[in-house]
Amino acid sequence: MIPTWVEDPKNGNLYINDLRKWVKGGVIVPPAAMNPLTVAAAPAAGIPTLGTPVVYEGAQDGYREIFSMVGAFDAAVLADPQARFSVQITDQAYRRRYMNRDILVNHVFGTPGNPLFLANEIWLENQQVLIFQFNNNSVAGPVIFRQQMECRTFQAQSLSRNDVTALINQKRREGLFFNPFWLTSDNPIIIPAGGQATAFFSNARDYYLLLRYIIASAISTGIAGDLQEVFSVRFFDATNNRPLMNQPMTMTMVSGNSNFPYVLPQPWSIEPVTQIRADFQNLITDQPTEVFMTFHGTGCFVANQNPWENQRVDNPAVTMPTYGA
Amino acid sequence: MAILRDKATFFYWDERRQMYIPYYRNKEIVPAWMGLSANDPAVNNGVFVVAAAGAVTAPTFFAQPYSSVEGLDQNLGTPFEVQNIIFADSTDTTAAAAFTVLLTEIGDSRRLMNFPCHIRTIAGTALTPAILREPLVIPSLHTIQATFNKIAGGAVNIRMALGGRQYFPWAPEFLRYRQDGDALRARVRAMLQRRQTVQPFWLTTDGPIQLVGGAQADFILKPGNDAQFEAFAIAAVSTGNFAWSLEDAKTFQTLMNGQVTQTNATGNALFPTIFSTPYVLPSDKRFRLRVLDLSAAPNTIWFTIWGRKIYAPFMEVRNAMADLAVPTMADQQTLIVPAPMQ
Repeated sequence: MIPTWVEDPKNGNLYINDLRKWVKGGVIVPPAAMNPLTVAAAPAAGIPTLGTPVVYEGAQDGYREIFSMVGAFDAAVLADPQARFSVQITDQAYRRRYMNRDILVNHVFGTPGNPLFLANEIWLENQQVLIFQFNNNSVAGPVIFRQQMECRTFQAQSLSRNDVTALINQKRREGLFFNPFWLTSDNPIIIPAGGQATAFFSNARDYYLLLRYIIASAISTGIAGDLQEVFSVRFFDATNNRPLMNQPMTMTMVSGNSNFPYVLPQPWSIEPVTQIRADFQNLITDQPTEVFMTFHGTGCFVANQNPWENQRVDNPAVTMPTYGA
Repeated sequence: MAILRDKATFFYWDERRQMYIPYYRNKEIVPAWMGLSANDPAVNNGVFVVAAAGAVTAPTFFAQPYSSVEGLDQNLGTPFEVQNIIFADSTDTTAAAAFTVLLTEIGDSRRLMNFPCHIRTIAGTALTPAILREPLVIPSLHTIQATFNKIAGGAVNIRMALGGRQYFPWAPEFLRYRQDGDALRARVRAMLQRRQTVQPFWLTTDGPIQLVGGAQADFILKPGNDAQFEAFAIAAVSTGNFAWSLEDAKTFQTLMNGQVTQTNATGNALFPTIFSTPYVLPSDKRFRLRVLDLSAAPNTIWFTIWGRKIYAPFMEVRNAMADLAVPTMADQQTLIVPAPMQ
């Protein structure tokens, strides 16, 4: 993007591109009072405790392009709260959410060694605000969570250079239309012991999605059945009932985690107002299994979409589901 | 960055409407998993039983069906482009007591490996799939036969899948988006043309390497003399540590000036050791692999080189260019992490 070397065509001498001084890597962290963020245990099953909204604000000295997410729980946090802690990210400037509902933190943040690289960068203008709303969905205990985002910084000095200005203009235009997006099931997925369940993942009316990653996790107290694979699933494009697999695939064959998400060999194009259908089979035979499945990709804002070009698919009653307790 | 590549592939900028418009054709290329075929009665809901060590397991297969609507596919069928290999073995997760697999392209009568390979040297999981540098294209009505053999221990239930892209050149929507349909069909034609000349190939020894403690021995890797072999990466599993070196058995040209250790230079199917520059072994040549046991105990080693077979003669560049040569997908820069060539 910003070439390191500049070659003098007359004599072949190499120089370091001056712009490298002004366009450089960086990290954004929340205000000190929110890092770490402590969220008390949920008061009861199905009633999450909302954390203090975490605010990221773009600095005045330049623009930032966020490309990865890193987070970690403190050692004292119990396994159940870690497995149920969720977040919802909202871009206040454009009034957009980056997910269809709150997503497990374990599906959004990677670790320092293996961050979650966003399928689409977040372009952060001066004083633009992102709000992270965390929910503790577990009654088992509080959560203490630390987070940061890695970014590229275009410092003010670089803005006077024509090629950087052109790049920034391009990024701003893209920022109007593209953002990262996390798509999870419309409702919580609970598969009865040894049984089956169907879940839908619905796209909004104004988005064209390109899904690149699949991340999943599961919670079960069962001790019988396939404890390694936990569940199998079949995906269908609900618009045309086109299956993505000829056989059900197990958890480790379709999904990874936020460190190593399963990278789809071909991004899955999801048109506005359409759905993904997933048929789950519980491979644990003595207890139900809760499945958390997230697709991550790029959302493209398709303004002026003619509503008659796409047949509307009714969304099953979307209340405000939680991850339970 | 990824999105920049995506934009050109998936969207175009409409100057008049001042907005991005998605290309329809990408809706007709979907990510997909091809599991073992349900046409084999031995495959139950994707699960296949590999018999205990010493017993024979009948071959099973991956099959790509044919579908079309009113001939809209223009005889291209519905090809599947394999980009990675994934397996799950939830009943026997130990590295040593695993199984081998031999993949054969039945339609082309070509084996994709010279000898059965250890599953953990060619297949990964969704977290870290074994990504093919050269995609395996399976045209409609073609079948990949898979022959499994347990190395040790009892019978196991396994699942295996080929992950990749499914193409639908016949999609009825292309009657509405004709240019998109033409573009997709051109891509499929190029892919089917290329597979006639280039196919992925796994090169291994004739059976596992078995050494007594501290022993050293030479093994010949024989890709066959029907095509050039281009080596990309190395993956191995073993019961103990070892050191190795590789050389061209005919010219004695070595790839290293001494032996390298397994811990430094040998990955597995999840994270193979990638050659910084692929090594081309001409069709009449073989690799000699020299292995030294470092475990001071009996050591069984499964050593696999990932690569591709190129069914084409060598030619000087100036002659090739004079003959209107067109750079192909193979001319891309070598990557330092496993990633499919586009």
